[in-house]
Amino acid sequence: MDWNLLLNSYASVMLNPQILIMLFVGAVGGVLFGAIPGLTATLGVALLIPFSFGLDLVPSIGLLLGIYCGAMYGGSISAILIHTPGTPAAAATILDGYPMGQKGEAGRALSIAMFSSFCGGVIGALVMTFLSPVVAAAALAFGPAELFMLAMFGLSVIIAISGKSITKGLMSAFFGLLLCTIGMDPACGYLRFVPKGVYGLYEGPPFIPTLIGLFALAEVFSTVEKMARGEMKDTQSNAKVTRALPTWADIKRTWKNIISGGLIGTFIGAIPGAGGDIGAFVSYGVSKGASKHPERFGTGIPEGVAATESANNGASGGAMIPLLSLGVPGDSVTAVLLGAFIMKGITPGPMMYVNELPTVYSVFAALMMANLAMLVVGVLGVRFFAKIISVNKRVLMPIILIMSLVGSYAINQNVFDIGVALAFGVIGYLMQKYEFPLSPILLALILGPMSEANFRRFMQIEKGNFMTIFTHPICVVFIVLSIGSLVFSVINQRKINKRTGTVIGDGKVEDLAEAFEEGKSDAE
Amino acid sequence: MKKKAIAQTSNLICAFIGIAIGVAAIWITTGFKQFVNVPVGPEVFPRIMAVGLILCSIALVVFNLIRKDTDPAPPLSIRDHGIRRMLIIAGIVLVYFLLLETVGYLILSPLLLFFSMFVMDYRNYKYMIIISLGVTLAVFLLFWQVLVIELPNGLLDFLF
Repeated sequence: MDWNLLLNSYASVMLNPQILIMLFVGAVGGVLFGAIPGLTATLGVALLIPFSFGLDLVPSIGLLLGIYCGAMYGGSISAILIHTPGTPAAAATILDGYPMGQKGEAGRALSIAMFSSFCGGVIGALVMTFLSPVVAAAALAFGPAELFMLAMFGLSVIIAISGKSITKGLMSAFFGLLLCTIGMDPACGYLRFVPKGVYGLYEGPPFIPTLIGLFALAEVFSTVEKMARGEMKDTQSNAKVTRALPTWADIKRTWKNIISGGLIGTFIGAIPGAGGDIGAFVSYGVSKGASKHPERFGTGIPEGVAATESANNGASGGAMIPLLSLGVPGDSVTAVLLGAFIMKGITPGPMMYVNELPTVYSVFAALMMANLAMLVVGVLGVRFFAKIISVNKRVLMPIILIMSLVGSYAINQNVFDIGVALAFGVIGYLMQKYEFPLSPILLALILGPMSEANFRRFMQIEKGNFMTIFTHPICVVFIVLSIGSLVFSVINQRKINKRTGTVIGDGKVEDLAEAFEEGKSDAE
Repeated sequence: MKKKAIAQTSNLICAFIGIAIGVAAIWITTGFKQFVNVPVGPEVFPRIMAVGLILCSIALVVFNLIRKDTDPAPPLSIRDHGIRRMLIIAGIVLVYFLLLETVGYLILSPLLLFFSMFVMDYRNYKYMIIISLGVTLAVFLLFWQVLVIELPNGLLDFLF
C-alpha cells in the first residue's frame, strides 16, 4: 500500500471541484432513482452513462458512484414511506422501516436509514481500499483457464440468486452468451450472425442500448400494461418528515447493527453476482439472531432498519472489490461501471494495480466521497424526496421513455441503437413476464467476450484438450463453487417458496406484504 | 367458458422457443468459414452456448411435465387491455425510431411524450403540453450545450 499516493489521491479528489460536483449530482440522481419504485440503481447508472462521456475518468466514475451510493439509500425512502422498495436492495428495509412509519416515526426511520447507509458505505469503501490490492496480487496467478472459470463462476452466482427457477436463469445466461457472439469474432475477425449491411452489429449488440432496453424500456412496457389493467396504482405518500439526522440515543442503540451490517454487506457484495439485496437480508437475519429481543424485529425498531441499510450500502464497496481487482463485476451496477471503465480505455483487473495505481486510488477516494455526498444530499433533501415519489406514474413513465431513447442514441449518435434498445425492450418485457431473470443476460454480455477469449486462449495452449482444466487447482475451486452456488440456491429457494413465495433479485419482489406479516409474526 | 392458459403451457412454449433459437444458431454456424491451424474456430463457442440453451430448454420441458404448474399464465392476448396499451406504446417508440432521422428530435419527442401520457390515460392537457415541451427542450439543451452531443435535427436542420 502506497500511503503517499493514497493520500494524494484522496486530496486530488476532495480538492477537485468538478469531481465534487459530479459526486453531488450523482448522489442526487441516485437518491431519486432509488426512491422511485420501478427505477433501480442499474437503470440510473445506465441512463446517466452517456452524460459522463465528455468527462475525464475520475469525474465520470464519481458521477456513477454517486448514483450507486445514492440509490442504495434512496430505496429506503419509498420502503419506509409507502411500503414499496425503491430498489431490490431496500426490500429488507420494509420489515422494520414501514412499521416505524406506521407508528409515526417515519422521520426517525429515514434518518437512521440515511446514517446507516453512510456508515455501511464507508465500511465498504475502507474494506475495498485495503483488501482489493491483496486480491489483485493473488489474481496475477490467474491464467486464461482461471479467468474463463472465474467468468463462469460469476455467471453461476448471479443465476443462483436471480429468480425462482435455476433452469430459467441458466437459459437466460446461455441466451446472453449466445448474443455476445454476434459480431466480429475476437480471434479471427470473422463476422458471426450479422445480416449483410447491418453495420451497427459488427461489434456485437451495443451494450448500453441493450442495457437500457432490457431494464428501462422493459420496465416501462410492463408498467404501462399493469396500470392499464389496474394492477399497479399510483403510490402516494403523505408522511411529514421532520428529522434529518438520528439522535445520539439512536446511534448508541444501533451502532453494533451498523458495523455488523456494513461488514456483512461488504463481504457478500464482494461475491460476483451477490448484491445489496442478499446482504441486507442476511444482515437482518444476523442482527435478529444476535439480538436479546429478537421478537421485536419486524415491529418497527431502529435496529432492523440499521442492519439492512448499512448492509446494502456496504455491498457497494464490496462489489467494487472483484471489479477492480479481478475485472469481474460484483453486481449489475458494477457490471455497468465495468462498461464505463472500458469506454474510458481502462480495463479493470489485476494489471490495473500495476499500470494504473493512481486511478485505482482515485476510485477508492471517489467511493468514500460518494458516501459523504450521499449523506449531504440525504440531509438536505429528505423532505423533498418524500414529495418526488408522489409524481404521477403516467407522467413519469413517458419521461423515462424519452430519456431511455435519447440515452441509447447518444452513445454512438446512431439511430440504429434506438432500434436495438426497442428490440431488447420487447425481449426484456417478455422475459420478465414469463419469469426469466434479466441479470444473467446483462452479466453474460459483459463476461461473454472475456470468457470466450480466455477459453480459446486456453484451448490454443492445451491444443484443444479441455479436460486439462481439472489440473488447474484454482479452476477446480471455481467449478466446485459454481456448482455449489447453484445447488445451494435450489435448496434455499425451496425453503423460501415453502415459507413466503417471495422472490429476491432481478428487481422483482412479490408478496412482500406476506413476508412482512411473516416477519411480524416471527417477531411476535 | 374459455379455458385460461396456465403457466405450464407458457413455460413449454418458452422452452420450445429456446430450442428453436439453439437449433437455428447451430445451423447458422455450419456455414461459418473453417480456419486452418486454429483449434477453436469462430463456430465453437456459439455452438457450446446453443447446446447449453437447448439442454436447459429440454430440462424446462421435463420439469414442467413432471410438476404441472397450474398458476394462471400471464396474459399475452391482444384482447387484453394491458397488452394493447403496451403494444401502442411500443408502436409509438417504433415510429419514433423510424422517423427520428427524417423528422428530427425537436418535433418527434414532444409528440412521443404527449401521446404516451395520453395512452396512459393522463388527461390534464395543460400539463401534458408543458411537460412534453419542457422535457424535450431541457434534454435538448443538456445534450447540445452541456454534453456537446448533437441530436438529429431532421426537418429543422436549417435552424442549426
